[in-house]
Amino acid sequence: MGGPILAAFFLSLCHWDVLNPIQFVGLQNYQDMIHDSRFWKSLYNTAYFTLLSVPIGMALSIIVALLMNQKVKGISFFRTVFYLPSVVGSGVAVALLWKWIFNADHGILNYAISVLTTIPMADCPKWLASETWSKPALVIMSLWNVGSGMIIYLAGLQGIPTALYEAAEIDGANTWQQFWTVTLPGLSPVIFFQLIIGIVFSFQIFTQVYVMTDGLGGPADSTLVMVLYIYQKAFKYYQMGYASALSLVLFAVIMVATWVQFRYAKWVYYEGELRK
Amino acid sequence: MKNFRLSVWAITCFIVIVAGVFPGCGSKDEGTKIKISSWGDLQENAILVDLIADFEKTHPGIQVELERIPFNEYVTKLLTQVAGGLAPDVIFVEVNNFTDLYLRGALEPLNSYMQADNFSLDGYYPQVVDRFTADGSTYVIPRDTAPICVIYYNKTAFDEAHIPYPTDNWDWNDFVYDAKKIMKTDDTGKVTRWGFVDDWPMWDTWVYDAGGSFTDNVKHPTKWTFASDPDTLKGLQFRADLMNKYKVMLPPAGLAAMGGSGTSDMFVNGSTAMFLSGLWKTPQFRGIKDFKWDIAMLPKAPNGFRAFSTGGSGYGILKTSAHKKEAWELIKFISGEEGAKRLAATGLAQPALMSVSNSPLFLDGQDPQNKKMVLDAMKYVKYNPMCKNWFEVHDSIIGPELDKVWNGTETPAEALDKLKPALEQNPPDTAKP
Repeated sequence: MGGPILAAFFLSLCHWDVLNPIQFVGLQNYQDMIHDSRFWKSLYNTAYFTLLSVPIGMALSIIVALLMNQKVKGISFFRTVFYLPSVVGSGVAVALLWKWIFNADHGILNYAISVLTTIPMADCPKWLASETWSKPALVIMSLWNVGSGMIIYLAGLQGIPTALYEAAEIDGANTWQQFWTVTLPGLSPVIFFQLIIGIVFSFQIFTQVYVMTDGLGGPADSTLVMVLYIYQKAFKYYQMGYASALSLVLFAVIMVATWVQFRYAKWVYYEGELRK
Repeated sequence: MKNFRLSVWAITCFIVIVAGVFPGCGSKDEGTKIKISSWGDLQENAILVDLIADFEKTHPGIQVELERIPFNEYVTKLLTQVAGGLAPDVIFVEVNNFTDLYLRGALEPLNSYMQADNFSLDGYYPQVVDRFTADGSTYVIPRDTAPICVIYYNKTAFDEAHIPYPTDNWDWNDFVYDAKKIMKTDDTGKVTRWGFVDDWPMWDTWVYDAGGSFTDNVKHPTKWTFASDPDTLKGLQFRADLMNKYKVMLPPAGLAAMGGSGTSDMFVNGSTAMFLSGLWKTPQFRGIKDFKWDIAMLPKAPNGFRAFSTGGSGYGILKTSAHKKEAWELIKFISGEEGAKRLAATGLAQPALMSVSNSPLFLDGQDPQNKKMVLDAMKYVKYNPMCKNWFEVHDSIIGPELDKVWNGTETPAEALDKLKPALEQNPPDTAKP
């Protein structure tokens, strides 16, 4: 199991085009990386996407979970509806579907915008064809999957003892205050988990971007995310060593992000703990 | 305890060795097995399947396994197979990835095989042979050539606009005039029929048509001339103008959701009256019932100059192959006249074998009527520079900058200025292993 990772460590110190023997070059790849503008661009693009899609996605998932937690008739139907996108998956077929939705001239997103606001269709964002709107388009696409987070938050919500809510009510807390003092702290382990997983997976987004931009990360490298860049370097440009170095850098970035979250996790309440 | 551990190791090693040996045994008397991999659509593939069946009949003792891989993944799959030791013997090579494979020493030189069998390349287009020949040896036997100069035009649209059909002698000004005339808009001002669309962003061919260049030399490039050549600027400016100034061409925003196949659908359903591509669209367009169409050569530049980029492909042998003799036999067979004839009959491609492309087998009277244009076109084809970083510079350095030009956020002159330092930092890489 450790084999591929060790191989990546070793290859990152080499140049290898697969068709010829491996050439050891020491830290050359890492030195080149510092001066590689496309590397920094891909890091920026990936960070931009993660910093938008994770918080917004989590907030939406929590709101939807709160709604789905109501004891109304037919709530199971709504829960199913919200969870359905996750069942369909986020693979190639869905990415193609989103490609059509984002079509600037005929897509339903711009049509909806033109109907709901005064903006005519011709002035709507060009989404996947625009440098400024291509990443927001990716974020919007990722929000379709709030259902999968919703299920987990729903389970978390139902794990909060009702006694806490009753106690809060007795102390005179209104619904909003109950949310901040009981619900959120009670949910904090789940939020923490979702945050870590969300960041780890968002940093590695690939399939949808590949399908929607024909593997180019365009326009003008605006959707060039790290994994796509690694893929290009490895399989398009015969630079396995550099690609290995890139993937190790990605690994390090995700590791640091995870460590930071664990380090500053004092806000997480675990059941049974006493807060000082 | 030590004895126990030792015996566990001994047994494990024994099992591993035995398990490794057994699969190797047996099936030695089935003859040689060789593998060929190729891309291509179903029609092309069917030709190959038939040819291989015929080959196996006339060459008992050689069994051929054909693997079909989509074009976009061909190199990826090939690299993975080479790394895994499962590489094919015969590969399909096109004029651009030939550079990568040749410069990395992956291809077997074919001169000795050709001499031994008196196999002559005289019957093939010299331009294609020249492309596949480097440092005195030929590495690929050509199958087809595909100049990117075919303007498919909708005859009915031209009739409606009361303008004559284009001739091969037209130039850029005639082109823009025609494109403007055949456009249609509806009552809200939205375009219902564009003047012109290309299959994918085929800006290279306009650069060559203007007289522009990428490097100082094609076979042995030493520096990029792309950003400093004034003719390159002319070619890029013209394509940008088609979209942003004359507005006869669909801008990228409309294309983003369509990808490759969507653009030819636009020609089929009449959303565009002119369409730039290669001859390979012929089978698809032969299915059009709503209107008549034909082809014309990419228009000349205003000063009369003419050139275009081109595709083309053929078969080569990987150096790693353990069955080079058999692989050569296969290549001889499938690249020969029989293969070329069957390819000509589909209308899909222009065989590199001149005797076949000049014959009624290719010029068979089916659409497009002006098919002989592609024979003439061979005079003007230009090939891309032979350097290992061609794809990277083209797709990842020049391409993204030009995206801004097509979007209208930058002028071609500004883009070329921005590209100058990047091109200087990435000189053509021709180093061989």
